[in-house]
Amino acid sequence: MSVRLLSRLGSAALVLFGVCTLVFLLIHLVPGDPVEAMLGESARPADREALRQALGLDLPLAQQYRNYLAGLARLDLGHSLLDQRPVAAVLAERLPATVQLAVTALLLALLLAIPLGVLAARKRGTGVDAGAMLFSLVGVSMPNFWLGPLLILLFSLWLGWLPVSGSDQPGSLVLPAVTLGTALAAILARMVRASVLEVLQEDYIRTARAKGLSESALLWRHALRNALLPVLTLVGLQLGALLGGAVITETVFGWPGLGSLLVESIQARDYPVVQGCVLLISVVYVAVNTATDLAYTLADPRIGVG
Amino acid sequence: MRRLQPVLPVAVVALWALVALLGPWLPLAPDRVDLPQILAAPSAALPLGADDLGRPVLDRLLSGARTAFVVGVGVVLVSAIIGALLGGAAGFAGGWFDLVVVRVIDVFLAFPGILLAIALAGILGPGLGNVIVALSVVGWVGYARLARAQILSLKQREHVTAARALGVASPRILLRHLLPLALAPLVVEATFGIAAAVIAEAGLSFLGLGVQPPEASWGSMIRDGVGYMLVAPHLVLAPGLAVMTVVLAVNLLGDRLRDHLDVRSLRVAQ
Amino acid sequence: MTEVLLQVEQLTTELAAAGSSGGGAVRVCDAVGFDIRRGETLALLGESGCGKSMTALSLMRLLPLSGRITAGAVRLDGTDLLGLSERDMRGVRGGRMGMIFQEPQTSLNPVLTVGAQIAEAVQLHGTPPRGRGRSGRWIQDRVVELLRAVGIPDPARRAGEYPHQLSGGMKQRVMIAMALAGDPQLLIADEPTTALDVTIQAQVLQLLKGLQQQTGMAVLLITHDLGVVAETADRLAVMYAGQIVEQATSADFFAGPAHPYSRKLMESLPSADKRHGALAVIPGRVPPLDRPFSGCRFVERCFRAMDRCGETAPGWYPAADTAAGTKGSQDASLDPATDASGHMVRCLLWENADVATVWPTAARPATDETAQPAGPASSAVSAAATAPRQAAQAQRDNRPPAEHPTLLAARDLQVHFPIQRGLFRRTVGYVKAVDGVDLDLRPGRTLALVGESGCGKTTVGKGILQLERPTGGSIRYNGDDLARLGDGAMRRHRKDLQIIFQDPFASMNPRMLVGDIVGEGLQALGIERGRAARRRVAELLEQVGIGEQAMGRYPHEFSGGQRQRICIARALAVEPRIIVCDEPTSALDVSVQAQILNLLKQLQQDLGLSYLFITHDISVVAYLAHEVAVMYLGRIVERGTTAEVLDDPRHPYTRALLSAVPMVERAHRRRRIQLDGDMPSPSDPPAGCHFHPRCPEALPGCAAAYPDAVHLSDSRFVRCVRDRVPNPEVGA
Repeated sequence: MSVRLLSRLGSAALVLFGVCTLVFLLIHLVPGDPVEAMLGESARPADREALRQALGLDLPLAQQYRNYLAGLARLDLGHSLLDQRPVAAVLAERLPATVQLAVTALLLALLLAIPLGVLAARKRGTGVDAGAMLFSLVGVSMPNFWLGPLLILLFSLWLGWLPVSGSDQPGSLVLPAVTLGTALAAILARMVRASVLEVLQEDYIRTARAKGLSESALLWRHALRNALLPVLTLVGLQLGALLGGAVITETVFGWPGLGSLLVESIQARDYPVVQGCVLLISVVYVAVNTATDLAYTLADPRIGVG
Repeated sequence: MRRLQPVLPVAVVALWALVALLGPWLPLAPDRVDLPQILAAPSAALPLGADDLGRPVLDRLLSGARTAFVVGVGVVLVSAIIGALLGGAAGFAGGWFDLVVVRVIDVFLAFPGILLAIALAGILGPGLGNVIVALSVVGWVGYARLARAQILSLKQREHVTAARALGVASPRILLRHLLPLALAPLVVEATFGIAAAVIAEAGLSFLGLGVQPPEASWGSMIRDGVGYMLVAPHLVLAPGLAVMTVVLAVNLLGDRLRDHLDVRSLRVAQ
Repeated sequence: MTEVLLQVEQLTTELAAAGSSGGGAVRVCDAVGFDIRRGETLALLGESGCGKSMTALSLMRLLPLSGRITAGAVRLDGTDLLGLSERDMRGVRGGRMGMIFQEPQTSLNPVLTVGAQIAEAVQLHGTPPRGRGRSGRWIQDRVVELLRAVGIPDPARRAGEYPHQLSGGMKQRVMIAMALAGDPQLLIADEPTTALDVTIQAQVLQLLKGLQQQTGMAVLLITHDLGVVAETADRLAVMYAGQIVEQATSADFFAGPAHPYSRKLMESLPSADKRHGALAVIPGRVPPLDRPFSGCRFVERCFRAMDRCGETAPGWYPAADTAAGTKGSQDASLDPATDASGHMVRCLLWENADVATVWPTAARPATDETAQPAGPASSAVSAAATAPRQAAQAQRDNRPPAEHPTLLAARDLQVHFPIQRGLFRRTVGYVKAVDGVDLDLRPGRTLALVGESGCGKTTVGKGILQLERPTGGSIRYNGDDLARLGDGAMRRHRKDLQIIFQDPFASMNPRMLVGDIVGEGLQALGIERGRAARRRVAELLEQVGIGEQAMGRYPHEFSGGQRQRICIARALAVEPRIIVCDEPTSALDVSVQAQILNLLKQLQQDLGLSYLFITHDISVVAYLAHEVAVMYLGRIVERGTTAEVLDDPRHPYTRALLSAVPMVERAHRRRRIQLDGDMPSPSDPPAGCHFHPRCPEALPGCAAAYPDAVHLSDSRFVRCVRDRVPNPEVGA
């Protein structure tokens, strides 16, 4: 158990190191001079030099990299070019909103997907199944930058039930969470259905039937746990799509999270904040995945030993 | 005759490809500004109305189809070829090379969804080429992982052992025994990959990180239309429907393809 | 209370045909009828696809979704099972009628403890003794009691364990415990030991027998193994193509099977008696079951088929010893169920006939050298031609091995697999799959490498061919040490050393044409190209009895036996001198196995091939091998000529192994030596002699050191301390 735990944590650390390196290199990918890109071509040479020094871009690459890593160790991600505030502080301000949105969307997706997937599997081949799978296919194919405006049009502009954007009114969370959660719900419903169907084919389900167990006992005691375990790791991986989707959803609804911060910073060419956003979202993602993996380890007795 | 034949999805995808490939020769005027027609509702002359600059929405829609197609096919080609070669080579060679590739794959997988593509596209600046680069940087990983897993499991098969016992050389084993069998799942993955790339391109363009204006993209059309949703909902509805129809059709085709290949493997495994 | 417990009448089950254009149904059981009496064991015997498992699932009403019972009646002690509501049927399942399955590995839920899984059955069907409520406490006690009853040591602790912590044999015991929870009147055992090793099979069959005596339950044993039937069943029913074709008591059946199919099945079993001749084969394939039959289902493959067999569906006839017994034979609707003790057969040969007229030569199927395939359909080899050759071969076979030159010699062969853990794939130990094996292969001779799963026998074969690189030892061939050759240098020898696998389908690339598969070696090694290569491939396919028209087809178009022939042709293509045969017939039915064994034997005679025959099947060894090496946990514990080892086994493991093999012939049965426990892991073998913890004859010194080989003759050695000093009492 502990060996596996340590090795899992070790590889997570290695991945994070790689992520940090890649994010560091991001800024050096800018074609031409990053400082020029940030300030525009009309900037005065003195301003350029000042910024170059402030960002440490005048140092050799290896030195820059060392400074960057040393900064990370102190949680120092540099300063925003816009208002000179520490990037870490800006991120800390925006993180809670994104977590709130992502968690709500995730719960919504799970609450919708699990019953739908199980129902479709049990009623396999019927209209219920076909309907659920049609919903799922449409949900997967519906981009959130379209679903969001549609929901705004319907519920905010025409019906006037919910606010158009922002996060300060009651009900603000509803539309962004639905927008973000729909695609995930659609994907998960398919996975749950496939997983339940697969488990129902297993020999041990036949054994349980031969024991005289009722169909509902079969489903609840024998099928569901085995079927949902693999879905759990998939949820962890799908969280990536969710966090990526949050960038667009937050922009659509003006939701003050990390996603809209990222887009704002890209538009403002505030590269230190861009770096910080990418880094933080990735770290959260890796952490959550490591956690689900370990949860899986605990939940599945086959992996638990050794 | 297990299910309905996929006539509709095939027709949609064929139409899409046709419009995209014939685009330059079609009498389209996506950039023609016609001030009196600003925000015009659909009519006989303008079947889908006009946008906030008076440009014809239908022409922009068809022109956007080409953008989506070029990005969708381009990204899949670039990322599938790079990914499959790298992943396949790692699985076949094993050893330290495999170890390195696996670690690199892990690092790229640690960036959630299209986050890295958004950041990259933002830094590289707008443009069709940059969009393809940004999405391929993110996209190759999936193919690499799949190809590696395929080759690793195929390597264990007994027909490969039998070929080794017959003295068949490694390149020939790769060519005859591994690649043809690894191809099917990669093709299915690539089909879904086209759908994902279409959504991603539209997403980047929606954020203003995609193609350079005034070039038309379904994503930027939605972005431009959002502000006029109450007065001219067709500006959002038309491009959104276009994205959804194409993506749905491609996903349906992928599903069919997967079922088809599964059926074959089942029949083979009897 | 009647004698009869279960009555099955005219049971007909259909499966919706997947992918068939007509939408027709496959009739997997067609008017199946039999009785089971209280406390008896009835075996339902048949080859794969005959409908025996579907019959069992029909009785439990556990058919797959596409399955449907279309007619018939099943009565369990007076209860009409097919008329019960699903709810009431659930009360019968696991209660009055329990069932165990073939694959213990997958038949238990991996995420629940075995105790919890048994407790479910106890909860549903257990009856607490007077004065005790159905409390959790009682259920726990009952679970432990059941585990103890099926012979699981330390049952209280084991109840808390998960299936993956138990061995295959233990899991099957848990399955039995679960089935016993409802004190069943009938236990249905569907191939309960097929997935288990022979020593474990012996344990499980022994356990079932004992439990049956204690509880008085009846057993319906579904199996393909004639040996298992002979040793365990009171009566049996033979199934073919969805129908029962013969019913008899075990004694009557094995004294003289009446149906031509049963007879051929018996004659196709390999054994020592038949080693100087060809095995009987059944030509053709089982007919498809998605269309109605006009006559007998076996007619196309039958060597005694008459004209009217194709038109008249046979009824039941008594297979009596005397003409007096044929009285009732006019009545074609006669049901064997009315006369459970009688020997009944569904074959027109028996209409108005008795044994003397149907099988005039002998009442029993011939098992000695006179056993020649009768009739034109059986074999291409005519009896006249084989007789002198057999005599010559028998003479050759009896020569001591030392008189044959050595072709390939492995010395101290080791294949250790590193166990890697953690982030940097650090090696934390080794699985010693092969740990010091010596063996010699001689031209025209077969060395059988025998052992149970996990003993390393397959790895020996791969190690010799350099398909797994040995980590130690040498393999001398043609002046080279193969273990020291690079890949390029090894390629020169590839031509001489070939391999055939257990699963012929997996060993062919499904996307390649048969012609390309067979010709691959010719091309790779540059032996022949172009038209000459194609001609050679065509010849090879003829040689293995497939025909050259197969060249343009894909592997999935062939049956299992045909696929194995194609694999043999592929190996032969490069004209090898040695072929490693890795369980080449284990996945095949007995009648198909006979074809492949005949072919291999014929090829050896014609081409002087040397075989390393890896198998777990002792009867195949007896039929085919000249020498035998017995492996246990990575090492050879005993080696000698086939006669030496099989007739006078010296190592305690060899003796236990041989005694565990179920035998059809009563005379060949040995006193069973029961081995306890399972084979330990090759990553952590016991100190000293690896076998000593399970050895019934272990001495105190056995744990100290692995015993050296003791040579008992030129051809024979044993690695056991008991043989170090000649001991007149051992091996008596």
